[in-house]
Amino acid sequence: MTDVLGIYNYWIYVVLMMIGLYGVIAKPNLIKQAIALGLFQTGIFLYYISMAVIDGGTAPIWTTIEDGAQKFQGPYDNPLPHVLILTAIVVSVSVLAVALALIINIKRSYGTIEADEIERMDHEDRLSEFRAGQALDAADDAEAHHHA
Amino acid sequence: MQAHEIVTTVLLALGCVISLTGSYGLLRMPDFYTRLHTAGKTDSLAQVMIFVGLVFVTPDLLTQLKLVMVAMILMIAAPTATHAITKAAHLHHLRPWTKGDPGGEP
Amino acid sequence: MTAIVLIDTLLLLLVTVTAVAIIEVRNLYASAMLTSVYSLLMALVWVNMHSMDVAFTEAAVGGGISTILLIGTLVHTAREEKPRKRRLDWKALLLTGLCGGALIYGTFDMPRFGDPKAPIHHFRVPEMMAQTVGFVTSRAGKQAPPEGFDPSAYRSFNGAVASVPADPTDTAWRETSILAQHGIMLPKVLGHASHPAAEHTEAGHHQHPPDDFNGHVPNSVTSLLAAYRGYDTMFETTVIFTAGVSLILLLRRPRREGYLQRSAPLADQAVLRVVTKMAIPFILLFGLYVITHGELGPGGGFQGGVVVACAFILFALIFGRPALYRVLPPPVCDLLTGLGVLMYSGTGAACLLLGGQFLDYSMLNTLSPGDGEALGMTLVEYGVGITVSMVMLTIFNQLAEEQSK
Repeated sequence: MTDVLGIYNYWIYVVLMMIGLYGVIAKPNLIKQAIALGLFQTGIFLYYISMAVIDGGTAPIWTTIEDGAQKFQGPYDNPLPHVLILTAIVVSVSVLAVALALIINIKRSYGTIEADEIERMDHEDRLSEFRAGQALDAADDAEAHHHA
Repeated sequence: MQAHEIVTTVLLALGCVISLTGSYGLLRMPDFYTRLHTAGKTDSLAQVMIFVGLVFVTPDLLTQLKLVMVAMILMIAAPTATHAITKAAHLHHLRPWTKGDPGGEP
Repeated sequence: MTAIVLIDTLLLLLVTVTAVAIIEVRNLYASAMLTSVYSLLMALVWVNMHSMDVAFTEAAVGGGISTILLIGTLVHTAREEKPRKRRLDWKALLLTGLCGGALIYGTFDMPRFGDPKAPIHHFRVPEMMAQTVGFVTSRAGKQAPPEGFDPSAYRSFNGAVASVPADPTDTAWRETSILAQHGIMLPKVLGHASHPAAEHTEAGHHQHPPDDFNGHVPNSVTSLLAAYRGYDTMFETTVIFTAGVSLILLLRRPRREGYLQRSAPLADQAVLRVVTKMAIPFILLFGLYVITHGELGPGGGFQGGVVVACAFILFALIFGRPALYRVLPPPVCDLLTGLGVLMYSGTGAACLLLGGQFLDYSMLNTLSPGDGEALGMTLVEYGVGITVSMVMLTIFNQLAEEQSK
C-alpha cells in the first residue's frame, strides 16, 4: 500500500469523476447531463495524465542547444498518455456536439428538455395508443358478434 | 536578487494585487455596469503587467518577443471584450443602478 | 511534497468547486460559462503537469468551442433548469459514493504521483520512443548514429523486449535506456545481436531507418500521434468528420424562406467591427502557425484547426452568416471537411503505393527517411487541421440557424 501523501491526488480525481457521474444520474435536465458527462471525462483525463508525470521531469519536447550538454538534465515525462488524452479530448467535444444536436431535436419534438417530463409524455403516448388499440379490438369483437 | 528579477517580482506582484482587487470589486459592486467597470479594467491591466513582468526573466529573445506580442494582443482584445459585454447590456436596455435603488442585484 | 503537488492541489480545489457549481446552478447560461472557466482551469492543471499539447487542446477546445456549442444550443432550448422539489438526490448520492469508494480503494495500489519506477515508464515506452522518434543527441539538427551502433540490430527490432532486468523497478536500467549520460536515447535491448536482420528484408517491407528525427520532430507527442499512433489519429479525424455529418443530418432543415437569413446584427458596432477586422488575419495566421509548428513545439492539427475555426466563427458573429457564406460557401466547407480525411488516408495510401506499409511515412523520401517521416507528419497534421476547422465551422453554422417556424 502506497502511503496517502503520494496518492491523495488520485482521490481528488475520483471526486471529480463522481461529481460528473452524479450530474448524469441525478439531474433530469438533458443539457446538464451532457455537461456532466464532459466533467466525468475530464476526471479520467486527469487520472491518465497524472500517471505520466515523473519527478523532476519536464514536457516531452526534446530541447537541445548547439553544442555541449543537454539543455535539460533530467528525465522527460512519458508522452504516451498525452497522445491518448489528446485524442480523447477531441472525441469528447464531438460527443458533446452530437448530444447537443440531439437535445435540440428533442426540444423541437417534445417541447421540453427535462427527462422526467419526456418520459411522462412518452408514457401517455403509449397509454393512449394502447387504449386506442383496445377500442379498435372491442369494435372488431362487437362487429363479429353482430354478424354471428 | 538581480535588478531584472526585482522588476519582474514587482510587476508580477502588482498584477496579482490588481487582479485580486478586481475580483473583490466583482463581489462588492451593486450592479452590472459597475461590476464590469472594475473587472474589465483590472483584468486588462493585470494581464499586461504579468506578461511584461515575465519578459525580464526570459532567457532568449524569441520568447521575449512572443510575450510582448501576446501582451499587445491582450491590450486590444480584453477591453474589446468588456466593450462588447457592456454594449450588449446597453442595447437590451439594462438600467444602471442609481443611488436610492434598493441594494442592487445579488 | 513537491511544489508541483502543492500547486496541483490548489488548482484542483478550485476545479472541484467549479464542478459542483456547474452541477448545482439552475441558470443554464451560467452553467455554460462555468464550464468554460472549468476548462481553462483544467488547462492550467495540465500545464502544471508539464503536458503542453493537452493544455493547448483543452484551452482551445474546451474553453473555446465547447462554450460556443453550449450557448448555441441554449438559444434553441431552455434558459433555466426546472426547479425540483428535492434539492439533492440521495439515491444517486449513495450510488456515486459507493462507486467513488470503490475507486478510492483501488487507488491504494497505484504508484505514488511522479514515481519514476512506475510500470508505465518501463519496457514499452523507451523502445517505442527510440523506434519512432529516433536518436536524441545533444546537438541540434541531423546527426550520424553514434559509434558502436549496430544498424542491423536496430532495423531488426520488432518490438519484443530482448532483455528484461531482473528487478522490474530497476531505475538504473531505465535511466540508461531513456536519456543516458551521453544524451543518446538508445535502449540497451537494441544492442542485442540475436535478432537477425534477414527477418525484415523481404521485398516490400521497408526497414525502419536509423536516423535522427530530433532534427525534424522534437515534439515527441506530435511524433507519436502522427507516426506511432497514426491509425488512431486517422480514425479520430474520421470521428470528428462523423460528428460534423451527424450535425448536418440532425439539424439541417429545408428552408422555405430562402438560403440566407437575417443579416449582420453587429457590423454597425464600430469598435467590434474594427477590432475584428484587425484581428482575423492574425488569428488565421496563428492557427496555421500552430498546425505547422506542432512538430517543433506544443501544437498540432487539432489545436490549430480549432483556432482557424474560431477566426471564421468570429467573422460570422460580427458580420453575419450571409457574409460568411459569401466568403466560404457551404459546398466548399463540406468539401474541405472530407478533404482533410482524404489527405490523411491519402498520405497513407501514397506510402503504400511507394512500396512501404500504410502510413509508413519514411517512404516519402527514400534518400533521407527522417525527412520523409517529418514530411508525412506535416501532411497528416494539415489534413487533421483542415477537417477539424471545417467541422467546427459546420457545427457552429448548424447551431446558429434561426428556427424556421
